[in-house]
Amino acid sequence: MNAITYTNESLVAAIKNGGTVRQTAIRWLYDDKELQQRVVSFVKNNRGNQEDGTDMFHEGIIVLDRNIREDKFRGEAPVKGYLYSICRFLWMNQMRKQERVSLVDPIKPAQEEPDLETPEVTFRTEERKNLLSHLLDQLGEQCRKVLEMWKLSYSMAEIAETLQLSNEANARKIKYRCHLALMEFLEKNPGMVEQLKDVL
Amino acid sequence: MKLENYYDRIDQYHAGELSTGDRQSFERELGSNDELRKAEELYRLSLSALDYGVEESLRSDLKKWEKEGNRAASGGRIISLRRAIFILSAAAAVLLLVLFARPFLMPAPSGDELFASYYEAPTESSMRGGSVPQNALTAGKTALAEESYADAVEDFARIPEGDGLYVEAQYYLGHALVGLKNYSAAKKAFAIAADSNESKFNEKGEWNYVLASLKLGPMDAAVESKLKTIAQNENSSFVKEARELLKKMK
Repeated sequence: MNAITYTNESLVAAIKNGGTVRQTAIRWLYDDKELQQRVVSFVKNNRGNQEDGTDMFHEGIIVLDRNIREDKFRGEAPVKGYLYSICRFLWMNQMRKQERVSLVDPIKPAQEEPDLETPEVTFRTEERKNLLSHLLDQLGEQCRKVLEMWKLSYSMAEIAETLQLSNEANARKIKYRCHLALMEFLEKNPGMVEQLKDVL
Repeated sequence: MKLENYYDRIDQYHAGELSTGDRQSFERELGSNDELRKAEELYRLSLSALDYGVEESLRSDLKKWEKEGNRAASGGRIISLRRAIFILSAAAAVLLLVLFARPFLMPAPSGDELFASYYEAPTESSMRGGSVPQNALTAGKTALAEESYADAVEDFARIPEGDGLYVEAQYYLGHALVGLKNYSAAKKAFAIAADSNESKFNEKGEWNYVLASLKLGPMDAAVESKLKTIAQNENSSFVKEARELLKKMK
């Protein structure tokens, strides 16, 4: 049971804010079973199954989170409608890759929500994923967690508490050491830097 | 290039923490200082990698929530009140039976479970104390507190036998090796601390030696006897834990 409710603006603000506030907002979106069911129905009506539908809902949330954090969501449409458009777009793209099909859309979101914003979806190519994953593998588990939390604007006190570090100062010290180590790894691997610049 | 010379300024620039003047000066310098420009580029590329990590973490959270949801959803169905009362009564009877028979039916916890219940890694504050000069151990302790276990092992293993800090180094080496899941080497390091005359470390070394042995598999007679000795020693700091452990192992 989730007692919090969000307006469009407060949801976007919460995701941009980062930290536990973002996590709660994403969980709230995820808990919208009606929306999830709409995505699943669309996928099932278009040659997919329940699992494909769930995967699209998850991928849609990931893209939505990224677009909001990167200011790519202009706020012209309701967030949930925008999320549905992303999921629909992702599935259509996946189907188009497999074969050219004409998709059935029983829900017709364009009529239901005329203000839908066209989602901007950046696809991560396999090459890009492999490169970024290899880069992250250079970090130990703790370094990776600290840096990811820092990237999501968790405060040093929250990082220290979540990861059971002795204090805020220690969290800051670890973040500094780990981030520097990541940059030093890149510095020592100019080939990788060039590859990254090509795929980003 | 010494990235640390530039890191703080770049970090502040990206966090929007520089004053207008400093930001403008930083941007001007980006145009004229090749090293700064290169360092800033590395900073941005590293952020892209972290963004990817953030997405992977969210993907894993979503999968976790999905699993939790499936677990909660399975078995959820509407039943009549009479059937509910019958089921609850039956459940209560089974519960009472289980509670009564529990001591006879429950298997003894595994060594892994016992180790997880009793093992405690030293905290940064617990490592800070002490009157012995600790300069040679400082780096290792910092690495251990930061969970950089391989670095910690390297630092502690450097202290040679006969050195005044050797026993302490072996004790912390044991913990760093536990962090690396090398329990057999950890056991050896704890044994050195346990067999020493240094009261500050022999008791803790002995207890952790027992725990590392527990993690490695069934306890042999020598280790069990050591555990019993701790349990019988009223002055030991671990007497309570040792007694509990013996009880749970039965």
